[in-house]
Amino acid sequence: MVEPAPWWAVLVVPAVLGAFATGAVLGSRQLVARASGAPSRPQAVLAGMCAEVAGLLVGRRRTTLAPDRLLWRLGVVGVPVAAILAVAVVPLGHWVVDDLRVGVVWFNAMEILTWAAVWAAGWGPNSAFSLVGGYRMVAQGLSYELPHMFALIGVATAAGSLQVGTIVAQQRHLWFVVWMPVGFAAFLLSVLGFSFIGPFGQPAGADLAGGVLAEVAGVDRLVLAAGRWLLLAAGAAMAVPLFLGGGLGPGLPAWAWSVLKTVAVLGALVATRHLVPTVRLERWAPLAWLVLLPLTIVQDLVAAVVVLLR
Amino acid sequence: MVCGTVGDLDEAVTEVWGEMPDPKARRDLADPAAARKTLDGARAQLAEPGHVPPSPHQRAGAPGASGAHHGMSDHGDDMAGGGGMEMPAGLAMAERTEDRDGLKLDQLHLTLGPLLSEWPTGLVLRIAVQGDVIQQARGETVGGTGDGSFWEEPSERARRGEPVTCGEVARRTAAHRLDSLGRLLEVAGWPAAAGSARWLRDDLLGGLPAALAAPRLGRLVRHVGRSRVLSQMTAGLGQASDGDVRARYRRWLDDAVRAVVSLDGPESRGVVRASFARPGVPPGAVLETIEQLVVGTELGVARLIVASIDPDLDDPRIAARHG
Repeated sequence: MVEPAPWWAVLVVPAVLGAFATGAVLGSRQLVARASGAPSRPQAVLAGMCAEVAGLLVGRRRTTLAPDRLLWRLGVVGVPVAAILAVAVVPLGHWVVDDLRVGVVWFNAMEILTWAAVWAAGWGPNSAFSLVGGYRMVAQGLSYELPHMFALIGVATAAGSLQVGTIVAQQRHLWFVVWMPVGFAAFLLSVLGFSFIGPFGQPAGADLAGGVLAEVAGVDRLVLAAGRWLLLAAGAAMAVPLFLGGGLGPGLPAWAWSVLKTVAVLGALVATRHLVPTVRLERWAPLAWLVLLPLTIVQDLVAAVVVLLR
Repeated sequence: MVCGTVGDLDEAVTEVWGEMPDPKARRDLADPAAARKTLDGARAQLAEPGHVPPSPHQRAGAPGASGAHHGMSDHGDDMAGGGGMEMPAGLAMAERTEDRDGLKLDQLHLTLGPLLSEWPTGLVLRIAVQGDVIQQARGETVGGTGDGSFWEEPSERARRGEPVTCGEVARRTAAHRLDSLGRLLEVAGWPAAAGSARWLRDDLLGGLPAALAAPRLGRLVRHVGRSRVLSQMTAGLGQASDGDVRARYRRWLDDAVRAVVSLDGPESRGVVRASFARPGVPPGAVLETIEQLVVGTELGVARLIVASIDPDLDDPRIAARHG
């Protein structure tokens, strides 16, 4: 039911992902504008975003004293690249760039690539605040990664496959979110984690004057900041085939269901950014390891038992 | 845009200005009435077709100047170490000292402030960090006018015997608490709530009547005051005589609610001062308190602690201490 798309899909995928990310940015900006009394009509929000993007495009890049330029650039570019590569296995309705037999592992690998990229982006500029931001990403990864992987393992166990197409097909009768809600929640938390946005935005925290974003200006800043939102969109898009039945649904064509569900997940993720302050890692890590991790393991146990009895 | 009196902060302002990437236009604004004209002028300068940045941007701080270069930047990322050996780019090696577990670790000397976003302007905190944990801290001040805090100005006039309405003091007090709250929420990574607090602050200063302010403040209090995540993240931090970070922001919310109730209150003289006195850290002990509280904390926690004390360096009771 999921089939490889023609070659030009490779060009379409970044555009579609970019559209989702842009929508998320606009939604988020509108929420902030409304909360702080700034003009929040859609046109005003759109104009504000365009002005900022234009400003970054014409703005000069920043150079610091004795930076590790190669690592810095690799890190900045690595974030959006990881996001785009990650969605190569995410189906939109029936189409997917490549439905790899190990699609789930591919997605996970790309997500872990962001650890390295964000760390490098923090290390590169030779600046204390950036450096601390980069290391916060590593600490954050250590907190969300295991629950994230156990959430993926639960899905793979239930579907008996690591192939995203098969995982979608296995949800014909019942979406995985219904009997794996803990896995779904853990997955969404980890999406906020690897895109370092909202409650898990500490690597780019205001307390570090922007952390990994502190020293990037101009195009570099645009690329890194856009990368975060692309990652958020990629995570939201992946949640749909993993837990919400992908393109399955009555009436509408499969691609429309994929889009609708992705928008819903993305909307929920953006909303958390406005409902919750940033979670500090020293207080989150114990919760992640002592509460969330055991819960996801129990979730996997449930999945395994259900599969055995079926 | 540099607003207000620059004074001793001039050096720091110039340095931040030097670090800002082009294209840029700087304007100093001392008179609020000139704001529109000044902004228009800056915009016109940026829009000039021939506005070509003078030279590729380079970080202030020439190679070899490591000892003298104190990072008065908005990022506070002075990488100058204390060691003697000159390294490429003029950066010295980090020295090593024992950390809290008795391990020898690199120690880095950083300067927070005097200009840093969401930071009390003019406060300088010279810290030694190992990783992101502060080992030593020394507080200094730059540029406070000492003419009295803007936020205390009506109560100050009342104390001098001038006729000041209770409502005027209450309005300024409510705005002050929201100003502090906005900064704390921004540091806590909650821009939407910070935006709400600042919007209400501005509207209060602009004369918003109590009937309109009260429901908005009520929403903010419900949103922020009842946030379990914020409460969990701030409980137990920066414990001083006036409580912890959580106790401080909760007190601000209470103060603001009480102040907004009496916004449209009857005219009165003098008596208003006591009811809104901030039971926070005594101004005379602010620097010492911050120094003591931030040692042993992670950078983010230290930022929360400073934001929760939120000293106003224009207050003459905060003794100037120059480095």
